[in-house]
Amino acid sequence: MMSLRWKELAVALVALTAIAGCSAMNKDATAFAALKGAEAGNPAAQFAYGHLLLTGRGVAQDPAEAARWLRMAAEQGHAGAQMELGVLHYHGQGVPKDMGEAWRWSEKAAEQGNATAMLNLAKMLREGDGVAKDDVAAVAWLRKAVEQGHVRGMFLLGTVYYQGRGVAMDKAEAATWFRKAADKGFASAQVLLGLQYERGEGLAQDYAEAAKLYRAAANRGDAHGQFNLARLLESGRGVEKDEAQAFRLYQSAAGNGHTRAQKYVAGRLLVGKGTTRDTDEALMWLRKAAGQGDTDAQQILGGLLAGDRN
Amino acid sequence: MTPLLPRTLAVLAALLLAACNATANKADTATTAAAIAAVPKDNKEAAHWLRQAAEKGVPEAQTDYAAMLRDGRGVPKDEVEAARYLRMAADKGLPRAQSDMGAIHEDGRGVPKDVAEAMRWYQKAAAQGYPHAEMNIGRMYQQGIGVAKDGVEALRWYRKSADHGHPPGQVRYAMALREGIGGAPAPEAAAEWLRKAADKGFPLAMTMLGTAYEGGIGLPKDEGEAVKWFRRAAERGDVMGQTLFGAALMSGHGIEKNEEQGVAWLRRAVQKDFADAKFLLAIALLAGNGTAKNPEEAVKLLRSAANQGNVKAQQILARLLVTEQG
Repeated sequence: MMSLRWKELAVALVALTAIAGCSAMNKDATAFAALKGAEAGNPAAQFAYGHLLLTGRGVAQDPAEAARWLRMAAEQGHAGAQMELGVLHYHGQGVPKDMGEAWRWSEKAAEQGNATAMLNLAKMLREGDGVAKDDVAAVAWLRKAVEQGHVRGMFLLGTVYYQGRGVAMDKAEAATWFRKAADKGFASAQVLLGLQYERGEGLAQDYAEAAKLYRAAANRGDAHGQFNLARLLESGRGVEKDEAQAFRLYQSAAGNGHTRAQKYVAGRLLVGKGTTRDTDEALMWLRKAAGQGDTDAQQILGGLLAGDRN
Repeated sequence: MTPLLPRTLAVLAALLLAACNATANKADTATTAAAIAAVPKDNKEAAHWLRQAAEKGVPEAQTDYAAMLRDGRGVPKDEVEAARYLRMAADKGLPRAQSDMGAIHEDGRGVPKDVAEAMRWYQKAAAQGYPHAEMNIGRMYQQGIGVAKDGVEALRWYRKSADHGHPPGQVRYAMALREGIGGAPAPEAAAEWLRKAADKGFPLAMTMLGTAYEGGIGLPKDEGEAVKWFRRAAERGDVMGQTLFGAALMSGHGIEKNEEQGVAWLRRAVQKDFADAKFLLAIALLAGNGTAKNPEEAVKLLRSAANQGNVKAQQILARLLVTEQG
C-alpha cells in the first residue's frame, strides 16, 4: 500500500505554520503547531499531526494515537486522512487489522478523488481483500487514478495489460502505458519497457533503446535497471561491450539487495570476469544472498564449500 | 551414489554465463572448475546452507544434504535422517534422488536392505533416462541381485547408460562387451567405448584403456601407450591406475624402470586400501626394490591384502609362514 502523498502533507504543513505564525520549519515547532490546530478541530491539522505521530517526526511515534487523530480528520471528510486510515486498517497498524474497514475508508477517499486510495482499492480488488476479487473493477479504479495523471497508476495499468489481468492481454498497449510512466521518470516502468524492447514484445526489438531505458533507471539507483544494463554491457548488445563497467553495475545492484546480482557478482569474482579474481569477496556475496533465503545461493555455496567425499 | 561436485559445476558455470543464455561451454566449465578448486573447503558451512535450502523443499539440496548426512561430512553421520531427506526429493521425482534411493536400499544404509525395493527405485530413475540408474540396473542383472542373472538384459541396460553419455556406464558397457556378457565378445567395440569415456576424463576408463593396449585387446598391443594411460589415470587418483603405473615403473615395461617412483605410486594406492597394491608393495619390501628391505611391513601388508581376499597375497603369506616355521 502507498503511504501518505507528500504533496498533501506539505500543503497541510504550510497551512499549519501559517496558523501558528511560525515561519521556521523546525520539527518540534511543526509538531506543536499541528497539535494546536488539531486540538482546535481543524481536519488538515489533525491529519498532519496524525501523520507526524505515525512517522515519529518531532514527536514520539505512536500508531494508536496517530489513528485516533486520523480518524477525527477522516470523519470530517478529509480525503488524505481517510486514505491513510484505510492503510492503517489494512496493515493493522495502531488499529485492529480489518479489511472491511480498510476497504470502507479507502473507498471514501477514492470517491473524493484521492488517487492513492484508488490504487489501494485496485490492489484490494485484485487480491480479494475486504471485497470480492474483481480484476475488471480493479482496472476501472486504475484508469480513474491515471486520469488524474497518477504516474504509478500508469505503470500499474501497463502491468495489467502486460499480464492480461482484467483486460485482454495487449503487449503494445502495455508498452504505451510503461512509456508514459517512463517519460515521467518512473524507474520500474523504464525497466519493464526496456525488457519489452530487449525481447521485442509488443514493439520492434531494439537493444539500444532497451539500454537507454535501463540506464535511465540505473541512474535513479534502481537495482533492476543496474542489473539489466549490466547484462547488455556484458554481452555488448545495444551498447559497446564493457565487462568492467558491467561488473560495477552488478555490484551496485547487489548492494541494493538484488539477489541475482549478488550471485552474478560472486560468479564474476570467482573466475575474474570484468574484475580481478577474489574468492573471499565472492563467498561474501554468496553468503549475503544465501542469508536472504535465496535457495540457489544456498545450493551453490553448499557445492563450493563441500570437500571431496573422502 | 552420484557425485556432488559436477552438478554444482554445471550450475555455477551456467550462472556465470547466464547473461546470455543458460548453457555453459567447455571453456567456462574449465574456468569454473579452477574457481571451485580455489575455494577453501568447509563441509560444516556447506552442510549449513544445503540444509537451509533442503528445508525449503528444494529437491536438489535435499539430495545433496542427504549425501552429507550419509557420509558424516560437516554434520554428524546419520544415515536414517539422510534417508528421510532423500525420500522427500525422490518423491518429488528428482531422478538423482531416486537413483540414490536405489543405492541406499541396495546397501541397507539408513533403510532396511531390500534389493527388490532398490530395483524399483532404479527403475523409477531410469524411466526418466537417468544413466547412473540405468547402469545400476545393468549391474543388478549382470550379478543377479534381486533378479535372475541375465547377461542380455545387463548388456541392454549398460548400452542405455553408455548412450546417455555416462562415463561409468560406458566403462561397464565396454567391459561387458570385452568379456562377452550377453553376446559374443566384441573387444574392438569395447576399446572404442573406453576411449570415449577416457576422453571425457573418467580415470577408470583410462586405466581400462591402458589394459586394452597392454594386452592387445581390441587394439594393437602397445606397452608404451598402455603406460601413458595408466599414468593419466594414476594422476587423476584412480587406484588401479596408480597400481598398474607403479607396477610398470617397477618392471620397466613400456617406460624407463624407476623403482623408487614405482614404490611411491604403490604407496599412494595402498593408502586407499587397494589390495593389489598392498601385494606388489609387499614384494618390493621383501626384495628391497626401490625401498629399504622391510619384511615386517611386508607381512603386515600381505595379511591385510589376504584378509581382503587377495589370493596371491594368501599364497605368498602361506609360503612365508611355512618357511619361517620350518
